[in-house]
Amino acid sequence: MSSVLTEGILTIAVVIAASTVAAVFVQSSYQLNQAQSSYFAMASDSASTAVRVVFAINSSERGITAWVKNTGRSYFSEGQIRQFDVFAGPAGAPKYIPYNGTFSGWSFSIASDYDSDGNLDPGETLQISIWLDYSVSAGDYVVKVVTHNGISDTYQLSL
Amino acid sequence: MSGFGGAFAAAMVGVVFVVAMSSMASMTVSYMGLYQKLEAPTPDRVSISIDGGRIASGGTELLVNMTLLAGSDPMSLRDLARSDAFIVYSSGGDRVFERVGYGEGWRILAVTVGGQPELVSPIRGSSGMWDPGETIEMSVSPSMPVDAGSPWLFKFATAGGGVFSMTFGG
Repeated sequence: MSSVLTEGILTIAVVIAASTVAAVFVQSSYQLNQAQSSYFAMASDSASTAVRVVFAINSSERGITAWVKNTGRSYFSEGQIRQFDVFAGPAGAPKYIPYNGTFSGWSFSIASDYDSDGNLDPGETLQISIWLDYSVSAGDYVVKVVTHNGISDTYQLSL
Repeated sequence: MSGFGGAFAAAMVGVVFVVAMSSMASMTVSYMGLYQKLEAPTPDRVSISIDGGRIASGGTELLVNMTLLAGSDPMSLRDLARSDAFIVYSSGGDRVFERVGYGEGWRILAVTVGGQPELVSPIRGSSGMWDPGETIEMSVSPSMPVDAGSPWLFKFATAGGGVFSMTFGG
């Protein structure tokens, strides 16, 4: 009688222990999965982003026009493009250019919006007009464009 | 602890093992999908030779020949149409620069191989491929007449970001 009782108690103990282990394992793996998914989602966003400044030229005494191609797999909305950082100036000392700034600044238009959706889709080209607070003179200049998620490309031009 | 109790306990351990393995399998499948998303965009495997260019039609047209070099991936007409042409030239003594898009700005006149019509995947209408070894004869329409005899720059940027340029002597 006592061995049957002992066996019963041990069986219940094993069931409880197994259930606890299973529950903890499933919960932990779920949490790990969620954390990894969030991380991968952010990393995937950056990995699918690529831009290339394909051409830049001094468009006026105080202006530079640059064309940037979306060579990645994801698109940029107009709001994301406004979050781009643009740097321009003499090579070695480029300055941050604010979006639509007063004295110096930049604005943009999508030069080739093939599907007219207002987004910069893969393969489409962005035209960036930069105005500076000084006259450009002979020398080497750079234009650097940094996307909202930190992907960048630089173009060098000489005047 | 023999008999039914032992068997039951062994079954429970088995259940835990199966649950653990299935969780691991589902995580592995999930990660594999995410890793695929993490692959960075592959750059164009495209190399283009700009063979020649000349001013035509009294300066209202620029004719350019470009060859897709061996080792390049074939380029679909869709990708070609997403390429940009940039031209910098003199008009009336002033420097002019502009981006011209496919269609209204530049168009394909012919695709040839050694002067003969292309052999495979011909570009017709809105389909076809530009294959390695084939030469595109293209017409570029500047917005202003190009000064005869003046130098001009032609730059071609593919959809994947490949950039190829050549300056011609007029």
